Amino acid sequence: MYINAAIAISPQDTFLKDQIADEVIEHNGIMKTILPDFKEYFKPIDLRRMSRIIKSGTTTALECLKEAGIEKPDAIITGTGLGCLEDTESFLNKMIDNNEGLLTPTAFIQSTHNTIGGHVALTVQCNEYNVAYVHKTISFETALLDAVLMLGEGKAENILVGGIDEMTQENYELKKRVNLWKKEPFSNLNTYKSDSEGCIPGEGATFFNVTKTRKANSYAEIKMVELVHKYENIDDFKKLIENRINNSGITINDIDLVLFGYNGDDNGDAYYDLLKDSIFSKSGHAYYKHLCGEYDTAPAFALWLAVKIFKTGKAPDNIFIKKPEGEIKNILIYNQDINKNHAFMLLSK
Amino acid sequence: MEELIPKLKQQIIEQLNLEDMTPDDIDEKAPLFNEGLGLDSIDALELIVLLEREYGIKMENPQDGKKVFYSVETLAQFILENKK
Repeated sequence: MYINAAIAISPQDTFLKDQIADEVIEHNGIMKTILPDFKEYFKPIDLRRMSRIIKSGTTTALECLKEAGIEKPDAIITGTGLGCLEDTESFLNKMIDNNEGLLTPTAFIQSTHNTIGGHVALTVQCNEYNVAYVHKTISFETALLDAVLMLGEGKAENILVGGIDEMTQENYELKKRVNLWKKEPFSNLNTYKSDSEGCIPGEGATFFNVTKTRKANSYAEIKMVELVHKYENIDDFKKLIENRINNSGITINDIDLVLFGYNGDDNGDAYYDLLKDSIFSKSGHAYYKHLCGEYDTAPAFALWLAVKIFKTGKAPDNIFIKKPEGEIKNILIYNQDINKNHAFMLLSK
Repeated sequence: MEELIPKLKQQIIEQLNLEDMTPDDIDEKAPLFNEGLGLDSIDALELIVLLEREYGIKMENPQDGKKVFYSVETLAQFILENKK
């Protein structure tokens, strides 16, 4: 499967850009996305019903189709951990405020997990396969896996795949109570250096166009998408991952760079160290959550970053833990959630 | 009526999230749906909720909707006639 277009709205200046700036944009607290002017994309009468995530998701999807030179995809597959949270909160709060009566329809209609997939389909008049995967931290990888299977079975020629999540103030405050976040102030620039519990919340909207065959504008080939719920024995897990990579057409020694999902939480980051310092010790090492924060579909941002490394032939210095020698031809993206939902995406140039 | 119309315009702007609009931008005699403001069926539901919540008025007869929601002026007239 090949990636022909990649567009991201993130807490960095990434929209319609080909690379991260050398100077990382610093955030303290929630890493909010940097938004384009949506008035260029939607009429005011349409914009008024669209929350931040709907505007971001739909815009990235439309720009992705534009970059791929496709008017209408054969399928739209999205992944999201929490869906359109702002509208969900708005609807639920109104239920409480109005004692479960006098509820308005707009927030309810827009609060589903497939709202963005639906918006994109309506915008480009696509009546084909349209599915949203809501699988917590493997939501995006599951959507991507579905695309791999669909293309493999010949059920589609080109697919739009995306990962979208938003962080609201209310969600932030709720999870703060269970110490999920770093104590403020905490800069995203210190993510990898952190030696404490908790991470930095982020958000983002990222879309890709994928096809079964290589096109003139293909940037990367997805060689493997592998999901492991959890493991009991680290040695068995290492063997499993090594076997899967070796079955993908390249060997583990061919991986030039591993992009880890280090998020600054000691509890979870230790699990990355176990593979970084063993089966991936010979590869270059990098991380990305200081750029986008932690959210369920953050690996979609990592995939965008990897695709752009292939497209430009350059990688920003700020991502490296250990810089690889020579050209980067194979990148492995690894994300997990404290020994749950281990997800690997292997890409080749 | 003179006091109600600007108040109603502001409530419509807030309820329907009409970004960048002020009460002065809305012509009280212009149609609310299709032409004029260009509202749709979801907006009609929002306006029904607004009527009940702010003025305690329930739309008993759906057939009246077309006449009542024709413009801000007809809506204001309906409120004055039915407000509890």
